[in-house]
Amino acid sequence: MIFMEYTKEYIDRLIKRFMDAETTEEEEQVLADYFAETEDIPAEWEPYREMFVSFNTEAYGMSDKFVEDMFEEDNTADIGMSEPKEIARAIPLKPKIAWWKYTGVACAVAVICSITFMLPDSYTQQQASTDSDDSLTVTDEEIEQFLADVAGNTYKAQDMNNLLGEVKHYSGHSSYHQND
Amino acid sequence: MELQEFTEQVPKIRRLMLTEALHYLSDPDDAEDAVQEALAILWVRHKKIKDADKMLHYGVVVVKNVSIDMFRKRKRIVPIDTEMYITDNRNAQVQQEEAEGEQRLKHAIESLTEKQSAIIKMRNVDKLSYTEIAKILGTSESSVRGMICKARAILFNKLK
Repeated sequence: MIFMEYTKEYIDRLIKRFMDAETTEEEEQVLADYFAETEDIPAEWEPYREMFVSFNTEAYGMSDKFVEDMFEEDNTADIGMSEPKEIARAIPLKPKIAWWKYTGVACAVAVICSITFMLPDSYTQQQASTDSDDSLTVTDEEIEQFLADVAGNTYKAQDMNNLLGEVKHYSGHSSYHQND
Repeated sequence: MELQEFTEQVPKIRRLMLTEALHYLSDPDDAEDAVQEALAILWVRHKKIKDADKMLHYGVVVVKNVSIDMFRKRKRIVPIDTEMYITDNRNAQVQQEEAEGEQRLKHAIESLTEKQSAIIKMRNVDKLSYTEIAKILGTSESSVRGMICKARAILFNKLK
């Protein structure tokens, strides 16, 4: 028999290396063949023989059920622990705020915005009336803007008359340069 | 998916799997164990995994389940194995010895963890090299040798 050439010492050495997971594939094959073919092995090696015989069976590996369970997409139903990513949602004590509160706030914001838009124009008017002659120069663009504002009903009729009066007044002081 | 493609993907998905495991297991060593076990489970089904995207998806699903399973097992009180105490009334001595031998082997293999059993299968049944197993589990060769050494010692002690 081919395996007779291996001495007991050699096999013993291989077994020790096998148990330390230091054997090569070839050495493990030698052991597998030895335990498969040799009939009168020492009694103390019987566990190794059983082990090598078992390697030829389907006994090893993960059970199908276990693998199946681990691939399950939603496997958290009965685990008795909370999902770490799921943070408890806060439930508001007063879920609804009356609609008129929102409406009130919206109106207030609208009024503030309107006033802010109007401010620079009236401020300029005030500045214009108090500044020196040089600063009273009115350009074509400003006139056009004014006319556009009038057309857009930004000013009321009374304001319009007042403003037109002011324009005429400044023109009379030769501060209005007509470029045409 | 074959061995090479699988082992190429392991380093890419490993960190994400570890992060997922750490959501459930506070101990980094436990999380590392969970990742290795999850990769061993993925390897069982590697032929059914079509591409890298699927592998990433399954990787996260499996490591989550493994982590929860580990968490659950640690909390559970291990029941006494009643099978050990059932007496067999068959008379023929040889028959009984054979049955005992089989039973002993069964118990020995069952005493391995799923991961240990999977690694022994990789090495001694599927004949994969230590390097290949290390790549599958995304760990070092010496770590694989350590795990195999431990698993073989468990088997031997149950069989002697």
